[in-house]
Amino acid sequence: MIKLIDITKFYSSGFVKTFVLRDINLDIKEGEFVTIMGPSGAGKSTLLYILGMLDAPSSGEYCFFDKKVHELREKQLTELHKNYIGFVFQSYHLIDDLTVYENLETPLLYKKVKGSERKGKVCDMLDRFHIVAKKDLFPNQLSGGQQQKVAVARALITEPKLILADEPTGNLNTKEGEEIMELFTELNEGGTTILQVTHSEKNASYGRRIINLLDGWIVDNK
Amino acid sequence: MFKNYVKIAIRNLLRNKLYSFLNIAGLAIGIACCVLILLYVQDELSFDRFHEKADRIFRVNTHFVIPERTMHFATTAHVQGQMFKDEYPEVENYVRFNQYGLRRVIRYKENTFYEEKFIYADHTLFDVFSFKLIKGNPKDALVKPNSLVVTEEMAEKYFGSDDPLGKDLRVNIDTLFKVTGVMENIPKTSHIRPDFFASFSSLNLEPTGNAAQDMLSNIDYLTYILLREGADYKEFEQKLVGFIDKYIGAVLKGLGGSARLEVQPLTRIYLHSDLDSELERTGDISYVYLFSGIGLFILLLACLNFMNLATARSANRAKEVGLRKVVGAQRFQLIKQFLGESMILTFIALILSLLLASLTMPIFRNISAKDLTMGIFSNPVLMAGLLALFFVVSVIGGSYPAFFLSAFRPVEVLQGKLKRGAKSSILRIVLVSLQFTVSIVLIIGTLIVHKQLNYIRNSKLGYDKDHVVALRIRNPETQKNYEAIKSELLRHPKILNASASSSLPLGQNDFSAHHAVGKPEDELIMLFGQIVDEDFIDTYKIEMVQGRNFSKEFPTDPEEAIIVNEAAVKKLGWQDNPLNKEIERFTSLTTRKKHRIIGVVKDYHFQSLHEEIQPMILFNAVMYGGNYNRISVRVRPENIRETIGFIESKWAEFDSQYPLEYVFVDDQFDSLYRSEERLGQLFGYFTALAILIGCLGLFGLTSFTAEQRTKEIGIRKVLGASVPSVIMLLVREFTKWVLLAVLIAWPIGYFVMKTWLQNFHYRISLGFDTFLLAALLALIISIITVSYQSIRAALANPADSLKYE
Repeated sequence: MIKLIDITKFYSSGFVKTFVLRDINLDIKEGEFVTIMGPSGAGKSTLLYILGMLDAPSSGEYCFFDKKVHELREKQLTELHKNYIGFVFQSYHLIDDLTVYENLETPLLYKKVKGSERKGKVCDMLDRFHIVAKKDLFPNQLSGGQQQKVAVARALITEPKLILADEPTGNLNTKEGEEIMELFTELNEGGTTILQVTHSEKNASYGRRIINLLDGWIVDNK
Repeated sequence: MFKNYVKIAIRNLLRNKLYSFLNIAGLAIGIACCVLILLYVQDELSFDRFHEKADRIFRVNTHFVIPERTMHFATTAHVQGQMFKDEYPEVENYVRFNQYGLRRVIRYKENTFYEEKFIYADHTLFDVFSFKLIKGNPKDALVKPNSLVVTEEMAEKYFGSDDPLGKDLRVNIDTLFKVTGVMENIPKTSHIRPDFFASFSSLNLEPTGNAAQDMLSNIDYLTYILLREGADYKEFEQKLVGFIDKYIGAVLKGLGGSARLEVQPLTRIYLHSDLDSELERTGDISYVYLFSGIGLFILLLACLNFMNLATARSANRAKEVGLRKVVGAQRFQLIKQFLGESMILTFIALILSLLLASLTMPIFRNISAKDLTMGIFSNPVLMAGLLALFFVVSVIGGSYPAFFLSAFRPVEVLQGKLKRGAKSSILRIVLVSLQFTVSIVLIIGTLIVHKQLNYIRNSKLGYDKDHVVALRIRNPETQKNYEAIKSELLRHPKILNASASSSLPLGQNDFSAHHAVGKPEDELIMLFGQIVDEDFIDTYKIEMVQGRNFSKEFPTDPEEAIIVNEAAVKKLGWQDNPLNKEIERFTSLTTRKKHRIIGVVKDYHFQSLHEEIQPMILFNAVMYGGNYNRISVRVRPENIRETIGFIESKWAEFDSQYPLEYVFVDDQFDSLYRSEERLGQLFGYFTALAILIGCLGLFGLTSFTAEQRTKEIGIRKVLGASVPSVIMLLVREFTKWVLLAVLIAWPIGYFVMKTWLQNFHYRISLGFDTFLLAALLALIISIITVSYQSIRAALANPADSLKYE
C-alpha cells in the first residue's frame, strides 16, 4: 500500500541543514497496524505528515498504491488524501466554531456527498461512538476523551483506507486512552490500515509492528 | 455547502462580537458616506440634462480684454442672437434672456410680493428648451409685448384657485403684464429657474443699424443658441472669431483691447462656468471632485479596517484553514468560504449604512444645500453603485484571508511552525499608517480652513461692519428725499449715524476708465467708483489718511471733489502729495469731466478677501448713472429689534409703494464666505468620520495584539515588569506607526492646503504649529484608543495567561 524509498527531509536555515529524516525506506501493507516510536525530535511526526501528504519530503520517492505521490500536483494530492486518509491528532484539532455534528459533516461536504446521505453517515458515526447526545455541543464543551472520540469519528467518516494517528492518547487519561486504543484495534480488525505515533510502550503493544526512529534514522523495524 | 458557509460565517460574526462590530460599524459609516456623496455628485452632474435638445443648446459668452483687466460675461449684446441666426446656417434658433434677479414688486388684487425670479425671454423659449406649459399655447405665449408666463407655484401663490390665463399682474408701480401661460414648475436641476417669464418684445429693443455700437453698448443679454443636428460647436466658435473682427475688431484695437466669443454647451454651464451675470449661483466641478475624493478616501479607510482586522485575526483562523485542508478542503473552496463571509459582513454593513444614510440625510441636505432623497429603487445609478460597492468592498475586504490564509500549509499551522501573525505585520503597519495618513491630512485641512475663516472674520476690513443696517431704496422718487429720511431716522436715540450711498462697502460698484491729469494722454486707469454722501466715511468708521471728508461747507464738493483710496494713490504714483491732483472721468468715448482729489482714505475691503484691494474713487453726488440706492444706518448694539421696528414704521411715511427692505452689513459679509464656511463644515464632519473609522480599526488591532501577546506580557510580569511599563510596551508599538503616518501626511497636507489658500489674496501663512497640532491630535487620539486594551492586558493576572498556553 505504501512504499517509501530513500525519503529525506531537512530544513535549511542559513548555511546549516537540519536533517529530520534520513534515507527512510519503508513498506506498509494494507491492513497493518504499525506503531512509530522514538524520542522527541526523532522525526516521527514529520514522517507521519509526509505519509499523510500534508508535507513533502526533500528527496526520495513515495508511492501510495500505484500513485507516485512525489510527482503529483497539489490538487491531486488533496483528492488522494481526502479519499484515502483520515487524521487523528494529539490535541484533537476540531474546528472550534463548529458543533460536533458539523465537525463530522465537514469532510463529507468537501467530498460533495449528497445531503441525505451525509445525514445518514453522520448519524451512524454519532451512534457508533455513543455521542448522539453531544451532537449540538461545541468542542470546548466536551472532555478531552470525548473530543478525541469526535476527532476519530471525523477521521473515519469518509471511510478511509489509512488512519494516521499522532499520539492520539497523549492528552487523555488512562481510561480514555484505552477506549481509543480499543477503537483502533476494532477498526484494524475491520481492515483499516493504522499508523500511530506514540511514546507509550503500552499503546505500542496494540499494534503488530513497531518502527523505531532516532535522529531521523530508522533504527529498528520489526 | 452554501448553507454551511453561511452558518459558519454568521456564527463567526456572533462569536467575535467585538471584531464584527468594529468591522460592520466602520464599513457602514464608510458606505453611508459614499451613498450620500454619490447622491450629491449625481445631482450635481444631472443639471440641465432634462432638456430634449440639451446636447444642441449652447450659450454664447463674451470675454473682453481691455488694458490691465479681463472681463468675463455670460452675456452678449441683444442684437447678436439674430445676427448669428442670419449669418450662420448651423444656428437653428436662439433665445435671449434679460434682467434676471432684479427685485420687483408684483401685485394681483391684494396679493403683493417682492419677486426676484423675473426674466424677459424670447418667444422661442419653448422651441429651444423643454419647459412645459400646462395652460396656454407655447407657440404664441411670449410673442406679444407684456405677456407673462408664470410657474404653477406662482399661479397658485397669486391666483389661488382662479384661472390665471388672461389676468393682469401689476409689476412695480405701473406696468401691467397679461398672463398667457402657466408653466410646470422647473426642476431644481436647471440653471435657468425663473418664476416669471415676460415676453422679450416688452423691452421694445430694435437694432440701431450701427452693429458696432449695438454690440459694445449693452452687453447684458444671455443668448442661448440651438445648433442644427450634426453641427460642431467648436467649429462654430472658430467662425465667431471672424464675427468679432468684422464688426468690432477695429474699435477694440483702438482701445488696445480684444474680445472673444465662447460657445459653451448647456450641460457644462452649471459646473464649469462662473462668469459675471450668471443666472443662478453655479456649482463648482472642483467640489464634485473633492467630494468624490473624500468619499473614496473614507471608503478606503473602511476597507483598510476590514483587511486589517482580518489580518490580525488570521492567526486564529489559520488553524481552521489547516484543519479544513486536512479533512479535504481544496484551496478554492476556502477562498469561496472567506469571500462568502466577507460578503455577508458587507451585506449587513450595507443595510445598516442605508439606514444610517437615511437618518443623516437631513443634516447632509442642510450642508449640501440640496434637496436630496434616498429613493434607492427609483434610482438605478444608486442601485448599480451600491451593487458595485458591495462587490468591491467584499472582495477587497475579504481578499487577505481569502487569498493569503487559504494558501497556508496545514503542516505548518498544526505543528505550530507559523509564528502567530508575524507574516502580516508589515502589511498591517502599512495599512494602519495609511489610515492615519489620511486622517492627519484631513485634520490639517480642517484646522487650516478654520484658521483661514477665522482670519477673514477677524481681519481688519478698514470699516466697521457690525451693527449697520442697510436699507434699500428702489423708488426713484424716494431716493430724492434721502436727506429727509436721514434726519428723520437720526431723531431716534439708538440711531447713531446715517449715510446715503450708491452701494454698500461690499457691493456692486461702478468700474470705469479714468485719466489722471499730467499723465500721457493715452494712459487710462480703471477705477472702481462709488457715490457717497458726506456721512459715509463716519458711518462706516473708515479712516482718512490725508485731506478732508466731503462737506456741506464746500458747495463745490458735489461737482468736483473726489476721495480716493491708498491703492489708487499708489497706482497713480502720487504718494508724495495726492491732494488737489486731478482725475478726469470719461463721460463718453470723447468727452471727459474733471475732478479734484480732496482726501485719501485708508484701504478698505470693498470686495471679498479673495481679491487684492483695488484702486477706488468716491464721488459726492448723483452722477454717472449712480443713485442713492442705499441708506446705511449705524445703530446701537442693544435692542436692535426695536430700532428696526422704528425704522419700519417711519419707512411707510416715505414710501407707500415699496415695503421696507434691509440687510445687516455683517450678514452680507458672512455670505461672501459661505462656500468656504460649508467647506470647513464638511471637512470637519468628514475628518471626524475618518478618525472614528481609524479608531475603530486601531481599537480592534490593539485588542488582537494584546491577545496575541498575552503570554509575553505574563512572562514579563513574572519577571517583574510593572503595569505602566507593560502599557508603554503596547502603546509604543502603535505610536511608531502614527509617527510614520505623520511624516507622510505633512507634505501632502502642506501641498494641498497651500493650493487651497491660493484662492485668497489675504491669507494666513502655513505655520508649523498647525502641522504639529494635527500630529499631536492624531497621536493623542490613537493613544487613548490603544490604552483601554493595553491597560486591560497589563492588569491581567499572569498566572491565567501562562496556564492557558
